[in-house]
Amino acid sequence: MSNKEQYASVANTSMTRTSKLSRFFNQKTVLVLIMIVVAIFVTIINQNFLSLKNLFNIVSAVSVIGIATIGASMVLITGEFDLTLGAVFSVTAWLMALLTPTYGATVGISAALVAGLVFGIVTGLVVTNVKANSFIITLALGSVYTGIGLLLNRGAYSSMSGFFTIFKEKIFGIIPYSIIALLVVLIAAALVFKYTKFGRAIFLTGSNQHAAYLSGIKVKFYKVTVFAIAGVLYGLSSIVLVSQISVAMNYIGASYTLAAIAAAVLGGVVLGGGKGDVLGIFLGVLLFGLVSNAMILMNIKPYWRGIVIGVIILIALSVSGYLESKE
Amino acid sequence: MEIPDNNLVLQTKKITKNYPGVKALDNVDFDLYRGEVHCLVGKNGAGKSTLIEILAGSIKPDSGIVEILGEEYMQLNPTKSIALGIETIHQENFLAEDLTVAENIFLGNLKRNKAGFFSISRCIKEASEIFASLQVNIDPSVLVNTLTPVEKKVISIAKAFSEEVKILILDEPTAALDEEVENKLFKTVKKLLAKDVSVIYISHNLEEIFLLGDRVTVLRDGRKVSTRYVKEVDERKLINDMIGEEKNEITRDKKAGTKDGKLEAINFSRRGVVKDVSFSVHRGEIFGIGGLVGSGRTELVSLIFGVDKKDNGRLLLDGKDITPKNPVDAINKGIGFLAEDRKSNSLMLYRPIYENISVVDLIKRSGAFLKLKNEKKSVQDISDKLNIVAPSINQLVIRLSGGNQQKVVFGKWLLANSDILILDEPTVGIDVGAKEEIYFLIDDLTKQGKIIIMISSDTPELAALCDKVGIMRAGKMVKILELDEVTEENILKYSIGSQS
Amino acid sequence: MDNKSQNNVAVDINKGRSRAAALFRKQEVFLAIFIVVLGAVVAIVNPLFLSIQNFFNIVLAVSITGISTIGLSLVLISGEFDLTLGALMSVQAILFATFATKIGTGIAIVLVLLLGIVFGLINGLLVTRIKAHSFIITLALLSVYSGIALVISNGEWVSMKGIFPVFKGKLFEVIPNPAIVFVIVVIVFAIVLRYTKFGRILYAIGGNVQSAYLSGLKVKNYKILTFTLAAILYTIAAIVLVSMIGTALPTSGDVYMLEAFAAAVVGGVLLGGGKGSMLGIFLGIIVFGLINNALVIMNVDPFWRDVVVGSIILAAVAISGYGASRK
Repeated sequence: MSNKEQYASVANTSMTRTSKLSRFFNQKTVLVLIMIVVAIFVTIINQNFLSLKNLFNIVSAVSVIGIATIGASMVLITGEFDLTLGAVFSVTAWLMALLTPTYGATVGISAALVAGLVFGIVTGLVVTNVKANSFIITLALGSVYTGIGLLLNRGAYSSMSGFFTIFKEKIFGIIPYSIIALLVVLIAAALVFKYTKFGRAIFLTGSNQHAAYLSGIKVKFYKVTVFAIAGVLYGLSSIVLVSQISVAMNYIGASYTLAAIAAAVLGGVVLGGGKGDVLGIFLGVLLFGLVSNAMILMNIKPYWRGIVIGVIILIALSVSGYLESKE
Repeated sequence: MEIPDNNLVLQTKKITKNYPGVKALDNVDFDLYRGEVHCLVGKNGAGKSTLIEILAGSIKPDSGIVEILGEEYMQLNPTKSIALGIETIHQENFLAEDLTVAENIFLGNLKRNKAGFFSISRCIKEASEIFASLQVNIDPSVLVNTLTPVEKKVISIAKAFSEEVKILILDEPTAALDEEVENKLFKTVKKLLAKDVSVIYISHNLEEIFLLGDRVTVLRDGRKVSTRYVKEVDERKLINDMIGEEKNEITRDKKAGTKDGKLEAINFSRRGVVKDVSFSVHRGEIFGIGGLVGSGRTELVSLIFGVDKKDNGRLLLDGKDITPKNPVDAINKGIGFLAEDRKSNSLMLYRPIYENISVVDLIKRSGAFLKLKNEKKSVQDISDKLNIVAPSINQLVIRLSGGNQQKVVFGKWLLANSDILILDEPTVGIDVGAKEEIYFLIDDLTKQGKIIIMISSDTPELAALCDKVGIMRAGKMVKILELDEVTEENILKYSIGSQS
Repeated sequence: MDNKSQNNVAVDINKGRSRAAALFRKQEVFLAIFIVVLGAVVAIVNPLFLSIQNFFNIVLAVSITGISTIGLSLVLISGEFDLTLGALMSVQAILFATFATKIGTGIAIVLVLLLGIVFGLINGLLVTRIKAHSFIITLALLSVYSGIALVISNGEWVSMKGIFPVFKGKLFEVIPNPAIVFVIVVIVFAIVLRYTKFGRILYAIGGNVQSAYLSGLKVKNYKILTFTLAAILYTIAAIVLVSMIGTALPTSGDVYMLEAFAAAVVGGVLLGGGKGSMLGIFLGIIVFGLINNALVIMNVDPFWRDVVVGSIILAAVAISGYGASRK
């Protein structure tokens, strides 16, 4: 037998039995199972959970953090951290609050996107040129951006009701625009990951930066671009949120950022870089949204919610970690 | 623990270890007697390292028993193994770079002073004693990250002697070493044998087997093929057992490939590392770079490829200046670089084969979108041509054997159609069968008119393949041997700098 | 030339590098200079900076942050993340205040320290048993501990009025007690890190965990121990905090986490593990204490605070990263 035939025959015997089972019980399945369990629990207590209205509520909420998480995930895939998420999110919101009353919604929205882009490029340039861990760099930059934002709005609330509620509206009166926005971002991201040179490059960079460099990948360029795209996405998610609730809130900050990273990791994005996919990220974010919604409907006291989420994350991690080790 | 009367120090019975898709070890029986050197050979992926890791305690077998000094163990861990007197020198150096040499030596057993506090001076003192007995010339108080790769290997080896060793396992210890250090190592092993220490020795270098070994076991595809006394066997028989079929020696017709067209490297320098190196290579030629480890060979090619900043240096192809400013530039100009230490420098281990092979070509192309079908077809063609053994090109590279991983790296530069290929230790850590395939490949490339620059510490390999060999010593290219001058003897002579 | 001196060319270059390795002290020199310069600038702008009262303010603030930062540094040096710092401090603050008012200060301290050990063990066990990055595991735990703090306190503050304020006094009427605790912690752990086997092993594990494991070290046990020590230190910090201000909020400790990370990293602790000296950490803590104080004393617009702090972190990290390797 040739080498190949030998190998194939060995592979066939031991591979068929174990991998079919383990391919089924992967990380995504765990997430889905947890969501199903939670859904069952909630529905027993409160049938409203399964109402169309509520389901759309979930997805609308999810669309905000989902769009931002895709951005953060791209950065994670290239092997870096981006802790500026919360800051950029807040600052773009305040920027809109500042500009929309005087100049109108179009200017406000554009400003938010441009600001996100600028912040992203700055973050990318600093991370690629300063020899330190992106965790601390983006932590510091987040602080700086927040400061800039605070200077902008002086800590005040601003109401923008009536200005633009486009993402609150629905296409055909049924599907909220926010969900459309999320879908567009998800599909675009999935296509980019799978079918573009850019997508391939960021996975390879995250997998082994030095080898990528030696193979001709312009690592710095791709990293800066990824941070820039993330910045724009953070701005976009801010737009979606603001148009839903019509108030530019005070300070969201660190907790938002960490929640996005948690959702990404649950969804299979590896913190070292080089691994992750859009479906997984979506499931991770959906899990968060679903559990949050479930807790409200089950009337779980607000103070208990953090505990519930934390425990669920730990369970999800333990189970998928266990399954992975069986492989 | 007493050594049983029959002098059997270690035994494995029907050890089996499975990984998804691969049977790494299949009911392997192995034994070791007091005071013997039992060599373990086989192709990459044959299971040698797996067996060793089970003995060292870092992985657990799926079934089978390990018997050490008469006691049976179902499972070991590193702490237990070391407590039993098993010291393992792994292929990779596992050293804590930011600690001193002395601390690394005694990592598992840091020395204390009278007050009970950790005493670095005691560690240094005892490390010095060990070094003296091993004739090692390294200062134990320096940080590991200041050492050269050879010195790090030496430290890894010395570490095994920090405890009372009863069973010494060496996994490819000489792969990164030069002759001088190798000889010291062999002397030390012989001294140990005199003290009734038992040795398990893995090597691809069959010469060493015949030099040191008492018995030799051949593994193939996870199974034990044979165990024989070294004096009753010859190289051909061993290779046959390892590969399973007859293979011919490679000889290269050196004059046949040389064509018109010339690459010139002029005055490459970098302060303290490389001094004024110039040489030229014609199309179809293989220019070898020889020299001891630490003489500046990798540093030189890193300058040429544009990885490191140079103070001086120009690269001309047929008179045209193609000096690369950085790797991207070099690749665009048709230069490829097969770096040393493929796992760190050339491979994305957790990505599939086809992504690893297509990367250079893909990035070079314009156009934002991937054409997956075409990509996979091109990769499949290359994979078939190179005979890469894997269930499919979707397989993650980390699951491949060393030889196949290296073939993936070659495949990458083949697909990119590099005109000039720089190879840095292309056959290190690769088994005999794959090595020969790679030699044929390199020869084939020269027939296509490509220019090859090759660094190798394997002198016979260098002598057999290269048309010219430039010898590096202390950053300078002290001599360029041509055609008939290219012999093992000459290479060694100029590498060391002997006067004869 | 004989062969020995040839190989020595490479060795000589390396010896030069080992002298350069001593330049890791450069971080500490830079910090010391920065502290002096900053102190001088602030003193010029507002001489009150040099008053005894102000000095005590700085010392008190630094003590609390400092004790926690040292705990976090232990975990960082061993190569792991611990995001539970803030939440643990909050929980322990609430528990201490609650126990102190109900059972008495002495018993409260004992109970809370015991609980600190329990929390630390939980952290360590989960991080070593679950196959996921400690970032996400401690993030989930953060959520749980915060929730516990909220639930126990019911969202309200707990007052310590009338209870003997253990650490409020001053030794010899001059040195504030918290400072003494801080100094003791600094000295103890300076000795541990530099002169004990445990300290060396921490650096070894953080530097190359494979090497440590293959040398026979029980890596998991050391990590669990490290997390436990950290939790104990967070607890001590919480006790001091509550004693000082007399009340505990379920969010009292939250603000300390980011500052602890910043102080540790500025002080030279590498986020990848294996590096960091007590001197550097101490200086890093002082730097932040000074900055915080300076911002107040110089009447800097509070909205500039974040920008200033962020910029200083970036500067410190950029300068020390210059010439060094990443992560």
